[in-house]
Amino acid sequence: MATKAPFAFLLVGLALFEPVSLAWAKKDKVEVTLTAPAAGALYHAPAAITLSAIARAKQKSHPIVKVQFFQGRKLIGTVRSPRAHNQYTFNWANVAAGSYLVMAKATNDKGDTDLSEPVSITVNALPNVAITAPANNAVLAAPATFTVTANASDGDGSIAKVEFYNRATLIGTATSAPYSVTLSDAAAGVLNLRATAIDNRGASSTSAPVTVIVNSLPSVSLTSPTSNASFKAPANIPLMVQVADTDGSIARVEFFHGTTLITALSAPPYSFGWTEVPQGTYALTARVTDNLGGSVTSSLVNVTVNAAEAKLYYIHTDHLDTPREIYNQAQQLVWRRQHQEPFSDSPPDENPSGLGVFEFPLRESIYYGDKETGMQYAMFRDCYDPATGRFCESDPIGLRGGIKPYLYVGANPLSWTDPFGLKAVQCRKPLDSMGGTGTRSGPDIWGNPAYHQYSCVIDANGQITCGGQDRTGSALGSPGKPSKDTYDPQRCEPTYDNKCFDDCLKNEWKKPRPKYGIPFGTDCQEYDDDVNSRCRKKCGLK
Amino acid sequence: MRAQVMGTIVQIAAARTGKLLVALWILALVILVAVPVTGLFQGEFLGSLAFSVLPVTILLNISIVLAHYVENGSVRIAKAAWLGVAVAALLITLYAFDGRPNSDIGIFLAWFTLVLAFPISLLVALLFTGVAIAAEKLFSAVIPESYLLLLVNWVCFIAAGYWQWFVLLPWLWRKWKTLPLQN
Repeated sequence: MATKAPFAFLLVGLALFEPVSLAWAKKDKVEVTLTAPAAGALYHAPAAITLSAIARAKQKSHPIVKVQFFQGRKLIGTVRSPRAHNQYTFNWANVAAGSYLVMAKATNDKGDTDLSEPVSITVNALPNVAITAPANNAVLAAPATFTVTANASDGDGSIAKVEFYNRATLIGTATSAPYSVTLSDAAAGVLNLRATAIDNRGASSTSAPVTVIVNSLPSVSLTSPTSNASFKAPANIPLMVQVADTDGSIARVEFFHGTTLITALSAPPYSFGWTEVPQGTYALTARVTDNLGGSVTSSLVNVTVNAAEAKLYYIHTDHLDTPREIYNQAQQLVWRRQHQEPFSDSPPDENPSGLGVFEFPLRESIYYGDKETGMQYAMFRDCYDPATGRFCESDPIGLRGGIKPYLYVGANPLSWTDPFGLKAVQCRKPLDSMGGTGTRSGPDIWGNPAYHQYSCVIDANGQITCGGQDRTGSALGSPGKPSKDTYDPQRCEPTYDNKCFDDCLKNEWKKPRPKYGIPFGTDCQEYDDDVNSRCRKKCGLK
Repeated sequence: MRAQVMGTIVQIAAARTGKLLVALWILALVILVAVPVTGLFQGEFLGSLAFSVLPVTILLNISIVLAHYVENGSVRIAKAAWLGVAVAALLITLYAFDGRPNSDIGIFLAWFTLVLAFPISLLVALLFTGVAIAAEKLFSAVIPESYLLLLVNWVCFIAAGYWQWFVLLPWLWRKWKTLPLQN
């Protein structure tokens, strides 16, 4: 028994030595050291960190096959060949803020490994910064004094300071919240503001730029009317301003009386004729706005419009009611219009006696003459062009007014008028029983009584209403009744175009018809002539 | 017959007033032919024919007055012409009547007969108007145009006209001529 004990101890000792010796043998065969980053190194997120390790194989017959880099237990990269002699490098990109423990592990072709000592590093979060005032593209009036304010924060530390820049020029530094600086008397121009926040670890961030426009305001003065000017109602007051803008252009000029807008003008000349101003006292101002939105209001101008002073003028018209001459109460000629041609293309003489200009806009058919364009406003049509003797706009009732919808009064301006650009018409047609192609049965000559006569009114909507006299029985005597007529432009001629006249005709046609009879009674011709005559008289027409 | 008429016309034309009378007849004949022929080419024969009757009627009325002055057979020719035109107008009326109660042909007939029998036609027209008013007031009736009414109108107006031109006027003429003798 005593001889077997040393042997047993030997066996136990061998058994214990084997794993230890194997481990020792492996360790000795590979060696790795993390050379970068240095312990305690500081980076700013998102960080790009270069990990570098020196790995050696103790036995040349068993070279290093890979070096692995770990962050804690997490493998972050594997490098299989050295960049330089035994130096293995790995670029760890976009490393977020935080503290990390990194190490390297080398492995040879037999699977022997070695683990480096861990190295602790820190990745610092960048501060956040944004300018909160003024707003981007804010427009301020020069000289501008304003405060630039920024919000700044740091997720893993604190803000040490915030620096404010206009382009590359430092304009101020703030070290405590709220982070702001005041800019005084900034001249006209465009400012490009940025804020840079620096945290307690020295990391910095720059805000998005904010553009501020310092605008030189325009100038404005009301040159007309003059202060304390007086007018007579209904007054025509010319409004004029003098405006200027040194760093841009004028976008709009508005005229006010009190707070009430009179008119807004967007193009020069910034003048306006304020017409038909009733009696009263008015505080006039003009407000000018430049292209950057800067606006200035002129100083106040007070004007007085006194009570109207009625003046009597005598208007002499021709057979078509077209004004020809106007005389004042002293029987002095103040306005005259003598035609050299029939379509009203001759301008009026507004100062025939040297008494001053007298403006009177009514023209042919009582159209409104526009001196500037030479055109005439024709109620239901935009214009009548006296140069060509035609309307500029087609007849609103279309071809029902005839096949020449631009024609003015059938090209007969010496006999007819068309005040509304429409017409009331008087029509003649052949007797049904005898027929005919013209306006009468038989020859279309004066004295031939064989025709039916009626009138039609064409309103602005193109609706045509016709009215006339018919009978229920014998031509020598029977009750009258409305005739059933239709508008035929070939058989109708314009009479008057006057709303009063048109309405009067329609009203007359609603009334019961008189007794029909030849010669004792009212036939269609007599009825139509009577109705037209009554309406002319009622409406003061010739 | 034609030679007799031509001889009479030559006799009539011998006097100064007779020349005027013949001229009126010729003018009436020209109008009565020329106007309808012109209308025929314009597609308005009926209207032109009806229109031509009116001035011809006026000329014939004047010729009747002159014929009583001229005498010498001229009254017979004037009477024949007057009756001829009257009949022509009646034929036009009856032909153009379209059967409607307010036919326009009544207008033509009214104007024609008023001229043909003027001025006594005014009395006849007044009579017809009175009848129409009475019918309407008393019986609420309307007298419509019809062949019968047109014929009655024509007969009444022509009868009155005939009496006026060929009975009353000669009697008055004779009275007028004998007035100096009586005085």
